[in-house]
Amino acid sequence: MTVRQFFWLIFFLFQFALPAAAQQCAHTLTGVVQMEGGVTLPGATLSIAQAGKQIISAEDGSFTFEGLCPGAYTLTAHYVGFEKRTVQVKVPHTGRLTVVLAQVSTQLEDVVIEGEPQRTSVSQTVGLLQKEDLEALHGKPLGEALKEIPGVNAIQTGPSIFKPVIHGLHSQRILILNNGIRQEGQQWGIEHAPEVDPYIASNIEVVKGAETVRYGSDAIGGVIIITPPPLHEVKKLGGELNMGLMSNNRMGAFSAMLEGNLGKTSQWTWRAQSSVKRGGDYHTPGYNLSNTGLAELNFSGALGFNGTGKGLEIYLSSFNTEIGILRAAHTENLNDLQQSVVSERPWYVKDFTYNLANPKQKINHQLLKVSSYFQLKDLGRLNILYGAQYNQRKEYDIRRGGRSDRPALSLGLLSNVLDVSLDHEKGSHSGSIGFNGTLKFNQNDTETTNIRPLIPDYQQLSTGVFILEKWRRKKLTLEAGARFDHQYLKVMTFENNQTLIKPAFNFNYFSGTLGLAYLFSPTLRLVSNVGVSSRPPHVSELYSEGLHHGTGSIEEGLMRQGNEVLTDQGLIRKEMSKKWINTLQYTGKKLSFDFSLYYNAISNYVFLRPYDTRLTIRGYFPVFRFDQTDAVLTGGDAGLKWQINSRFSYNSKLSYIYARDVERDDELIFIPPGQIENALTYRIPSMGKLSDLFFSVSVPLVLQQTRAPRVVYPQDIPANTSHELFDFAPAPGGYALLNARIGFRLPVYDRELTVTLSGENLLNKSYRNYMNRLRYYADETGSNFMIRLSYHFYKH
Amino acid sequence: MKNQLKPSDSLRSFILFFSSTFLVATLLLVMACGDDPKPVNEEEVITTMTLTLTPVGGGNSVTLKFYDEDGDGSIQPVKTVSGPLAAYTTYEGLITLLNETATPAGDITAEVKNEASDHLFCFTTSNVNLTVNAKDKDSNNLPLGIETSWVTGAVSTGTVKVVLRHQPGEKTGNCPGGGDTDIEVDFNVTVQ
Repeated sequence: MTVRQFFWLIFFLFQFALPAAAQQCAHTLTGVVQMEGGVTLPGATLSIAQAGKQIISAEDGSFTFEGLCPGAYTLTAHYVGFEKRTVQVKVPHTGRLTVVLAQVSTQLEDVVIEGEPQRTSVSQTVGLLQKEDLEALHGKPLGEALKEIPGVNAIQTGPSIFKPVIHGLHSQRILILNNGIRQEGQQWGIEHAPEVDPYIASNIEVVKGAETVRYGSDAIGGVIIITPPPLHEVKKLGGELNMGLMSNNRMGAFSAMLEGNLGKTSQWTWRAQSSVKRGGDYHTPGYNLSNTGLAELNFSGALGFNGTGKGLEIYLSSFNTEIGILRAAHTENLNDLQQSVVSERPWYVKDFTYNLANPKQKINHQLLKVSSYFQLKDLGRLNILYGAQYNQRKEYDIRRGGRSDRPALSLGLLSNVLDVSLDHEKGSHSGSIGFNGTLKFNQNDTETTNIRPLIPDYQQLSTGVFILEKWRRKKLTLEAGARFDHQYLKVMTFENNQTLIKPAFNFNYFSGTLGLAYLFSPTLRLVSNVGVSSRPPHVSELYSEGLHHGTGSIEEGLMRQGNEVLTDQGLIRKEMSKKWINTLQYTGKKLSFDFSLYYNAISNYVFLRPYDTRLTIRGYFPVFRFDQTDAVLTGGDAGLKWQINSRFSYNSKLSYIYARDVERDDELIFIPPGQIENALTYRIPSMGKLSDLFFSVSVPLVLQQTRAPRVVYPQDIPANTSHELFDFAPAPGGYALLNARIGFRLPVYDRELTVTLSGENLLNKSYRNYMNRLRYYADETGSNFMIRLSYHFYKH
Repeated sequence: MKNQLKPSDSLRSFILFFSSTFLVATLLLVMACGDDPKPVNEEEVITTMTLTLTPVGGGNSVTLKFYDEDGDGSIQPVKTVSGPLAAYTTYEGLITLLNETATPAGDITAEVKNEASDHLFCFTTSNVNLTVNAKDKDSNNLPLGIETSWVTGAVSTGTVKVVLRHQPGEKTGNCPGGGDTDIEVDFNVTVQ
C-alpha cells in the first residue's frame, strides 16, 4: 500500500466520526405478511431494492422498514413455497400495509403470478445482484459483474474475458442458468467467458453450494442464475434505455428494451431487447494493452402467455462477440514466454485503436427456449421447458502463408435441453420431482482450420431424475433431495492423427443433498446444507490434445498417453464433491450481516499436472497432463451493512479461501487470494430537482496469494523433472485500489433518469492480478471513468 | 376464454418459423454428425529443417538437419550433423523447410520466401569460431537468412542456434526483434 493510499484509508475511516446529518429520511413503513385466509407468515423476506433494504418478518408476520426517504418504492416479498409478490408503495405511507402471498399451488385473482418455478434450495447460500447493483455495473462482462458477490471471483484473460469462479471452482464445474435454460457453450476453456449478455438480467443469483440435485453434475461448484424481469408486469407499453461510456478503452455500450401487451386482454405480453458494445484497446498506467478491443451485438425477444393456471413463454436470443487478445500474449515458444515474464513492459505496444487483429475470439451463441407451466388439480404445478442452443466459437491466431483469416480453432456445439418438473405443496410439506435430458453434438471444422483440434468431436446424451422435498415446522425448514444421472458419451478422435477411433462410455452417478433453515428470531437465520455430488470427467479432461498458445504448454487428457489413446471406461474415475456450507444471516434495523463458512472435500479432483517436457522444432515445451487427486477447498465469506445514521452507511465484504491438494501435498493453481472491500456511502434524499443522490467511496484490498504453486521460469523448464505443480512467474503482490461513485435521479418528462458517474482505480495504480492469466505479460488497466444513464418509461 | 388462447395469425407464423428453423437445424446437424471426422490436413507444420553448407572453394559439404515426424506430437525429434566444418573456410548455407506430414511434402521454404518481409532467420553461435551472415534480402532490403554465408575460424567446438522469427509488421532486420518464434534449434558443431 502506498503512502497516498494509506491517507485515503485514514480519511475514509475518519468519516465515521462526522456528526449525524439532518434526519430527512426518517419515514417508517410498517405492515404484515399473510397467506390467504389471514394466517400470518413469520420469516418472509421483504426488500426495497431502491433503498437497499432487506428485512425478515417477525413472528407475528409484522415488519417495519425504517429510515426511508419520501418517494415511490417497490416492495418485494417472498417466502418459501409462495409466489413472490411485488407491491408499489408511496412513502410516507399511512396505516399498515398488508401483503398477501399466494401458495405456489393456489391462485389468487389479485396476485401476479410470474410463471417461474422455484430455482434454489432454501438451505443454500445464495449471493444476489439486484437491479440497482446491475445498473451500476452496466457495460461490464458477466464474469466481472459477479465479482461483486463475496466468494465469487473470476479468472481473467486480459481486461475483457472473465470466467466466474465460485469458492475456487470454475469451468465445467459451474452451471449458468440463462433465463431458465442451462447455458451450453464451450465452458471447459479457461479463456472462454460465458456467452451471456448481462443486460438481459434484472437480477442475478449465485448459489455457492452444489445444486446438482436440481441441475445435474454441471452444478457441482455452484449455479449462476440470470433472470430477466418477469413478463406480464406491464399494462400497456414500456421500456428502458441504457447508455454507458467508459474512458479507459473509449468504450460505448448501449441497450434498449421495449415491452408491452398484445391485444386488449393483457394475457399475451412481449419484450424485445438489444445491446451493443464497442471498445478499443485498454491501457495500463504505463502503456496501451494493444489488441484488447471488443465488439458485441446481442438481441433477444420474448413472448409470454399467462392464463388461469397456465402459462407459456417463448424466448429467443442471439449473442455475438469479437474480442481481441493482447498481442504480446501470443507466444510461440518458451524463450518468447521467458522474455515476456522478465520484461516490465509487453514487447508489442502500439497507439490506441478500435481495430481488432489476431489473436482474437469470435463467438456466436443462439438460443431458443419454450417453457410452459400448468397448475394441475391435486398434483401441483407442472413445468416444461425445451431449449435449443447453437454455440460457435472461432479463435484466430497469427499464422503463416496467408492463413490468418482462417480460424485456428472452430467449434460448433448444438444442444437440446428438456426439463420437466412437478412442484407440489401440501400444508407444511412441499417439493419438486423432475426429469432433465440434454443432447449435445460437438463438431470441429478442421477442414477450415487445418489444425489438430484441442478437443475432439463428441456426442453426449445425459438424462437425470430428481426429487427434492421440504418440510416446514414453525421456525425450522428441512430439505432433502436425491438425483440419479446417466450419461452416454461417444468421442470421435484420432490416433496419430490417422486412425479414427470412437470410444463410447456409459456413466451412472448419484447426487444427494440435505439442508435446514432455522429462524432463531425474526432477524437471525441460520442455513446449513450438505451436498454430495459427482460428475464424470468432461471430454476436454479426457481427450484434450495439443498446444495452448496462451500458456506455451502442451496439454493432454486423462485418456491420452502420448500418441496412444485409451478407451477403457474402467480407467475413468468420477470426481466427487462433498460440501458443507453454513450461513448465519442477521437483518437488524441498523445493522445486517451474513457470514458463511464452507468445507469442500473433492475426491478424484481433475487438474492439470506438469508431466514432461517435449522437444519440438520451436524448442522445449512443458507437457501438462490431466490428472486426478484429492483436494480440499475451505473458507469463508462475510458481508456487512451498517446504517450509521440517516446519511451514512458502511458496507464491507470479505472472502478467504484455503485450498490444497491433500493427496499429493501440493498447492492448487488459480485459487483466489483473500480479499476485503470497505465502502462508505453518503446519501441525500433530494437536492433541487435531483433525488436519491449518493456519493460512495470503496477500497478493495486484495492480498498476495501466498499459497501459489512454486515457480519454474520458462527458461528452467527443459531442466525441470519434478511433477509438482508450478507457475511460470511468482504470484504478484497484494494491492489496494480506490474507487468512487456518484449517482442521482433526474426527472425527465414524467419519469426519472438515473445517472451514475464512477471511477475505478482512481490513483492510477500499476498492479498485477494473480487471477489474470495475462499477468505474465502486462499490468492491469489504469484508471477508468464511466458514465451510465438509465431511463425507464411506461405509457399510461 | 378460448379466443384469448388462440394466437393471431402473424404470431402463429412467427412461432412456426422459429420452431421449424430450429428443427431443421437440429436435423441437419444430427445428419452431419453421422459423418465421421476426417484426419486433419496439417498444412502449417514444419517437420524438417535442413541446412546445407557447401564450401565455396570446393570440398566436403556439411548438412545440419532437424526432423520431427509428428510435429508437436510425442515422437522424439532427430537432430543430425553430418560432420565437422573445416577451419578458416567459407561455406554457402541454404535452408530448406518441409512439412512431411503431407504427401507430397509441403514446401514451407516457399511460404517463408513469399512472406520474406515478415520473416527473419537469426543465427547465434557460442564457443565456436564461426560467423554467420544472411546473404539474401526481402523486398524492403532487410536480411532474410535462407541463404547465408558461414565463415569458420580456428579449431573449436560449440553450438549454433538457428531461429526463425515470424514478424508480421514488425521486421527491422535486427535479431530477435518483435514477433514470435517459429523455429528454434541448437546444433552442436565442430570446426577442425
